[in-house]
Amino acid sequence: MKTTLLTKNIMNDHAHRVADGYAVVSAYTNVNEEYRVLRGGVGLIDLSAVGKIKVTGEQHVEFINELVTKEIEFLDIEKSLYTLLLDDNGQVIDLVNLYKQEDAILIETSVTKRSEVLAWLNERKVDGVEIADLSEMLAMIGLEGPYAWKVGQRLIDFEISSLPFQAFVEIEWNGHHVFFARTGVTGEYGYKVIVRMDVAHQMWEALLGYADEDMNVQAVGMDALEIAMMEVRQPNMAVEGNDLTLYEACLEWLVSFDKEDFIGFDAIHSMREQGVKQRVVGFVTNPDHVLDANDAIVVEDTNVGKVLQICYSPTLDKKLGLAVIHEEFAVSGIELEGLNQNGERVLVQTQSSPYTFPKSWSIKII
Amino acid sequence: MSIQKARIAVTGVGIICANGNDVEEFWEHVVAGKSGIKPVTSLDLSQINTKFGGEVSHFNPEDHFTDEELKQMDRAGQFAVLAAREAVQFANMNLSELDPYRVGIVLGTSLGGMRSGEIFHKQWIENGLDQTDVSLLYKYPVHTPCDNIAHALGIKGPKSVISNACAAGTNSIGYATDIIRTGKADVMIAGGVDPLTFLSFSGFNSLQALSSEPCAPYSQSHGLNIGEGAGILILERMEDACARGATILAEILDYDLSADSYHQTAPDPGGAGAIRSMKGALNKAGLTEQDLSYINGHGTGTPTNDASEPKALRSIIKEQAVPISSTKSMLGHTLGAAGAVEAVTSVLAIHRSFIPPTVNFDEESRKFGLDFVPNQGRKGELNTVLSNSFAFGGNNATALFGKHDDQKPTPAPTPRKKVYLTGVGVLAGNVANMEQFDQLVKGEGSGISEVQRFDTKPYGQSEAGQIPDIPYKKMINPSMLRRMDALSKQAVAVTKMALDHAKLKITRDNSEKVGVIFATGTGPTETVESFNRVVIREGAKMANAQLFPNTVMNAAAGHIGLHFKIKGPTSTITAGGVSAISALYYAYSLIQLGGCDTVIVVTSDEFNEPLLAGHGRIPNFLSKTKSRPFASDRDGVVLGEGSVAMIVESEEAAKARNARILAECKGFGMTSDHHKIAGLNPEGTEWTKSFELALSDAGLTTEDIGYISAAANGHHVFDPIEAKAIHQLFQDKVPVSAPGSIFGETHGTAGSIGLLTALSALDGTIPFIRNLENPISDVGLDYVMGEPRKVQTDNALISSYAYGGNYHSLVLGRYE
Amino acid sequence: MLTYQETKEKAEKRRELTQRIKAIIVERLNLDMDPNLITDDQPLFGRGLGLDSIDALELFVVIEDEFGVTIYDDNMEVFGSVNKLADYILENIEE
Repeated sequence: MKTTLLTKNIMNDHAHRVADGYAVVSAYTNVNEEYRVLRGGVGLIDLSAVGKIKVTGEQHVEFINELVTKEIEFLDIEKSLYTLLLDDNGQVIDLVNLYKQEDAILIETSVTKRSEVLAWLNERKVDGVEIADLSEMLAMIGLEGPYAWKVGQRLIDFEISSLPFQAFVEIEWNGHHVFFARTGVTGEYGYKVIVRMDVAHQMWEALLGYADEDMNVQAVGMDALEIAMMEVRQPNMAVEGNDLTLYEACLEWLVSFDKEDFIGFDAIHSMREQGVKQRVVGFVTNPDHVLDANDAIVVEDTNVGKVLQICYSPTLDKKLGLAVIHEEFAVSGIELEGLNQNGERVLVQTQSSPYTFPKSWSIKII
Repeated sequence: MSIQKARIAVTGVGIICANGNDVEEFWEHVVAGKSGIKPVTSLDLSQINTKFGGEVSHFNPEDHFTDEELKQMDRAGQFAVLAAREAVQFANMNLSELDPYRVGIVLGTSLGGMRSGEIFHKQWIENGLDQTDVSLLYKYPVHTPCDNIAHALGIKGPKSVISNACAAGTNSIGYATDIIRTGKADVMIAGGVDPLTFLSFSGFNSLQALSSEPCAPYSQSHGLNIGEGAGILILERMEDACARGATILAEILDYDLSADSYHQTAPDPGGAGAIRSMKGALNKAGLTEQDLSYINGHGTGTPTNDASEPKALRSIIKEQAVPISSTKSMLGHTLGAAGAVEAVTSVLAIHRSFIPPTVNFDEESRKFGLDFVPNQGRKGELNTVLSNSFAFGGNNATALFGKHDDQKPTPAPTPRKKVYLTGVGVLAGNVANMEQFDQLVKGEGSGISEVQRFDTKPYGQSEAGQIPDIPYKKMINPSMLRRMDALSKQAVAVTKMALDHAKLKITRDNSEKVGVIFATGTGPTETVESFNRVVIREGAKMANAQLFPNTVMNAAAGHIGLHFKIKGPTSTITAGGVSAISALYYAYSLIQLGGCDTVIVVTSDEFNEPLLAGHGRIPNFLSKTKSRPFASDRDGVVLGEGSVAMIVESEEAAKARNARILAECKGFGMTSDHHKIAGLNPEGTEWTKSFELALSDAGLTTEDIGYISAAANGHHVFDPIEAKAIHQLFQDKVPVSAPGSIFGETHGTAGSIGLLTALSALDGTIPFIRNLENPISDVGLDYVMGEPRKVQTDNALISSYAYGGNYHSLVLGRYE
Repeated sequence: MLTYQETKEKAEKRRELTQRIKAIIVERLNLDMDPNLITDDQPLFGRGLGLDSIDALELFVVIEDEFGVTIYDDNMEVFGSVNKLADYILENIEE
């Protein structure tokens, strides 16, 4: 198991998991408490293990444009964009975030797909582009929560409300070059700081130090983050990336369908023609019901799908899950049953996303 | 000629608005903190979420105008003329003693004659086109209120109209200042006007921006109240004002413009654009925030403005306690007039040492820790006043006014900078780019084609200059494309072409230094028509919130800024047929006066069914056959659409980036007449004068000109006037062509198309006038007929005119 | 619990509603896309469909016009997804 320098500095003996060979902290304290920080204060997230790959060269835009599902010809400098990388069969390799710089694009991968994406890029590399893996050199720290903008404001010398969603700036911080981006995954105000790995811990401590009596700033692990992501239906490659097609995972919004060509283009068009048989739907069930991933979803005696992911949502005080369900039942607002390992049937109700209402939607940056 | 950043005195003010019908009544109410906001009576607001507005009351047009005068003006024109008359009187100025060519006007307006347009539109929809009152169409153009003032005062100098929505009033005062400083006039009438219209009520209503009660800027901020009125200032050189013993009310220190490049309607929430225009104005005036003694804020009372503007103000004034007030709290938001009435307010505040209050201020909801002069004005010696106006499209304008100071020196003149053209882009009848344009004008083809988009039968003319199908998706970011109307798409596409042609890249380093001047004759007619049609037919509740932001004249300028991330000075000119050259002159002025080094001038005009229908209603206007400018058997005009973008740069800027220089803008001549609205002086005297002025500005004589691009479009009356005007100066010694014969009448864009044919002439080929066999017999000109003519020339003259008597000419010269 | 058939019918009804909403959004907001490519749960604002405050205002008018349901301008939740909009319409529609 590898550990990035930042993670090494902060993980102590906290619970962790291994993602693509790297240690990632699952929880620093208690998942429900960390969740409340995300939904009520500012969560600090160690994303240092995600892949950070820089593509430069004359042809860098054309090169990446051929690999991603979104049209990036009009991606402005200092703007970021979520897009999918597909393989030739149209299967999702990863959901990546692209950051357009004047003469480069920085690709942020999921933590679980870092080496796969790098290998894919290198395999496809053409003349006129350079690919540099900066994953070890750069750390990334996420700031998520209804007051994340207050912390972000401390890093920059202009009004933070002037930084629109999906924009970023390059700034100086204590003499170091830092990327400061507005992009999040929980539906709350979200920012990311990209900073050299060897000063990341200093940054981490500085950010924690911006807490005050009105605002909790606290380290948040992957467990709480994944709950908050699921609540707003933010795709999580660790869950939805496997086996499902992009249609089944409902990722159409990450594709520019009028783009003329990209890798996987033909495959996803023919998938579409063949029709989509099943789709991911969110559901809730009572907190005392037993239901786990891979358990079946049934209607009377007919198996109509299976559970993909399930966890406890503190806001809903219910178990919240995602299931992949036959197309004809894949809608919100109906009642189905889950069949658990004990052979019990539990009532599940399909839900509309976002499953909880992020506080940030009713808070203005002041 | 040199450029002198002269000190500019304000020697007269005039105003009419909800808070008073003249300066004294207005000021009495301002001092008393008395609001003029009340239920509106002149429009039916039953479907609008408010009954309140800043309506001008106890106003009887008959008390001020003769029946004959009233035929020439609607409510906007009446306000404009009243305020202008008052301002001239206030200045104690006898205009008839001045050289009329040295007195000019710039008027800001968002809506112009829209009141007339709305009545016409309603008649059209409810009773049919043939039952409409044609006279309304003459009052409808956005430049008509400006013409009304020019005619009422008898001026003949530079005349232009700024229409960047709610920034227009402030912007027009700035541009007028520039016109004096660049030496084109001695006295300028400057200001703004807007009437209450149903368009603005239903539009702002659809955006949920209206306050259901009297507005409370900077405190409760529950929305704005629309107001109406006019504000006019008399500007002259300080020395002149002192020499004639005038009372100096205040001095215009400087102004600046900026673009947010953030959103179509909402301001940048952090106020970044506002900060740039305020800082820019301070820098240009050589002042700092410490010099500020009062700020007349934009303060509309909408939640978005009142959240972002205070941030920007705080960032400018830092820890100082500068009083800030919103006089919109007393008279509503008068849109294109706002900056002008607030300029009048600022000038009077200085001269009468009084800080106007923000009335209706709720102490409970006080935020930001700024001094908003709540509810009661106060006495105060004011040295420097800053006034803000922010508009749709993220267009910001800031003006600075100062107390008259005898001791201040007059800056020395500086040499004039050379101004070059370094890139162009075009869309016009049958041409999708510059190569096709060149091919067409240097060959035999026509840009005019049969109209397929709609049924032309009712209108009697089936042809028009039409832009071919353009793959906009390839040129414009698709996520932005969806928000653009036809005019904006054209404008953005040609801007891209021109930037590519000039090899100019907008980067983080230059984005705040590049300006955009947009110009249009027709404006977004199609969008205005569809918006209003729904409102007339289905009621204001059904008004389309998506269309409304594109109904403003500067919508395209906003889209250009957003699409290319351009944040420098941005303005919009809507002076009818002279718009293109007027916009080029504004770009030229900005460069001369250090506003910026690179300006993108974009002109766009539409062709669509409402335009054909409207022009078809005007007797004898449209041709029933072909476009035949200058022909003795011409029978009227064929319409066309077109867009042209031009990259205009200072010599320094062009050379610094090794740009290829296409030509030099050598001289401008700008005159006007006061014959009648929608008409021209049949003698052509002022038109000829514009040629003379352009030549002398360029330091050239008639012999130096090798090509004249005429504006002629086949009109019965106007073609011979232009022929006469040309003949009066050039006789038959210079080849004349009429690009309108190739592309149709493209209104505000016609001058740009003329300029492109001038580039072609400098390159050796003059296009021939299509369909011309027998020219007008009584005036002998060297018409280029039958085939393109090969020439060798270093200079070309572009002629343009607008209905209502406005003439702008440009000498374009070869770069040596 | 509903029977298989009843559940299926309920799901079909729900899908008809979401499809109608998608078609309305595409048509009335001039989106250049196939409405079927809008998914039930994607956000309508920001990263999702990319709508903004002006579209929201237009949607208020359109939803009232089509369904007789008034959305108030402080209700941000309805723009969370087509599904959220459908929930709101079902809760507020007058039968």
